[in-house]
Amino acid sequence: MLAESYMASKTERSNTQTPPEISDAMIRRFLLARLDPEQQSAFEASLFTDGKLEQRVRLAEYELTDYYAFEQLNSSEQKQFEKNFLVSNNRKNQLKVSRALHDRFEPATAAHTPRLLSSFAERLTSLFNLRQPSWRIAFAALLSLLLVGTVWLAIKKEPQIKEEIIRRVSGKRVSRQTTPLESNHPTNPSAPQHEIMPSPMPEHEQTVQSPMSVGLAPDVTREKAPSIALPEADHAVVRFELALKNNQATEYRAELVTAQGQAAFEGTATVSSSSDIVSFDVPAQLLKQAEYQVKLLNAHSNSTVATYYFRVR
Amino acid sequence: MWPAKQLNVLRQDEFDRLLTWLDPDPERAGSMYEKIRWRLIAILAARGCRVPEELADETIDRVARRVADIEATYVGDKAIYFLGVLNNVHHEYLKRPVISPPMQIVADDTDKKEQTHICLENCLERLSSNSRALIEGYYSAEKQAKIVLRKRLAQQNGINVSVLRLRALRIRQKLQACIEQCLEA
Repeated sequence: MLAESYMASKTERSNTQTPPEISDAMIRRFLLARLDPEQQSAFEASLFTDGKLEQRVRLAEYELTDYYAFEQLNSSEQKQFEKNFLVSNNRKNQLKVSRALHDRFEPATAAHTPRLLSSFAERLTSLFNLRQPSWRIAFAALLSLLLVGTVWLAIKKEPQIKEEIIRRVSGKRVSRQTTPLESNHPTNPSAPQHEIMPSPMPEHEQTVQSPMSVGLAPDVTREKAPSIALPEADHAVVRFELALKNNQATEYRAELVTAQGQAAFEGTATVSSSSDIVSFDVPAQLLKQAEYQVKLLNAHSNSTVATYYFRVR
Repeated sequence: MWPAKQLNVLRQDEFDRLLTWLDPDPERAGSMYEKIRWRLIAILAARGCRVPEELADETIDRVARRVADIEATYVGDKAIYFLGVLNNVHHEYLKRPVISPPMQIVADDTDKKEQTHICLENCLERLSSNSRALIEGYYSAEKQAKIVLRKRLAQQNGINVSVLRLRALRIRQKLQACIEQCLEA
């Protein structure tokens, strides 16, 4: 340790420098008031007659004060130092400078000298200590890489995924003019499709919704015509089931005519499986509160087969 | 303050005679005076005296008052005469009732400490680059690392560790003087 090195250097110096009988260890004991009386008397006499010894003692004073300030004395020496050495203003001033030197150099040392780990286990523990900032940074970097990689794969490498994402997003946000994807890819041809997509929905409703059926007989006069209430749905259909006296043809047409004789709608009339009823579908939205007549025509000869009357309430 | 000292205040002519007796050259006399005073304090401290400066000054005062009587006949190292007087003063001190002053390991007050640090920086700046590098290397590192560092520093300077120590302590001594001067300014 430091004390051993210090002692070794003392022995070396005491052999090479005068006087040989006074070692640095003895000087240190003198300064700490630890010499026995006989040594003390001899030392005092030498100190008054030997200028070199005086210089050695002076330097030893600085060294001892530095050791104290740098906490390099053992507990016994520390007590001796405080009790017997630190008794003059000159020495107290030396200690102030030693402390200033300690403050000046010791913190820098602690900050720049790598800590010596005593064992491999300590090194290993330190290496895998997940609380270390380096590990935190590594995890953050890994997460960032994963995130960037996922986005890159989705956008650049998997157009199907991209389209799927856009489709899903647009399906939920029909009313929005710009989604992030649309903003970033304004020329994307899939964008217009996503506006068209919802349009099949009404057709689906049409096919699923059952038409309102109204049975009409040919012999009923205008005055006795049945009165019907229109369904409230926008795309509702009124299916008129026209009874036949006798089935004269295989294909029919039908015309919806107002009371004023104006044609409001015409279309194909379908013969039902029973062959004595012809079905004629009219969009409900074409009907208003009024009197109507349906003319059933032979599709080939265009001759009137029968006339049917009804009234809309 | 020691009662005897209060009664026998040293006169200026006695002090001047002391310096002249030590050396006719005032500068050398002053240097010799400082050395003797330092030795007296060191010896008194090593004897376990709690007031070494006070007793050292009392010793010097007594010698100064006797110079007029001895200067014509005294032969030999004049410093040794101080040692003899010191023994008497210390002997009297030991007979006095023990009034131990309380131990004072007073921490530096913040202002003085800061000023000391400033002075240290200034004094480090005044050192030559070699001396500064040596002192920085000498005081850097701690404990075991310090030993290794000092050995390396000695090798770099082509000297052994003992010589390195002496050089460093001499620079330390200069720093002390520089900082004390800086603090007084």
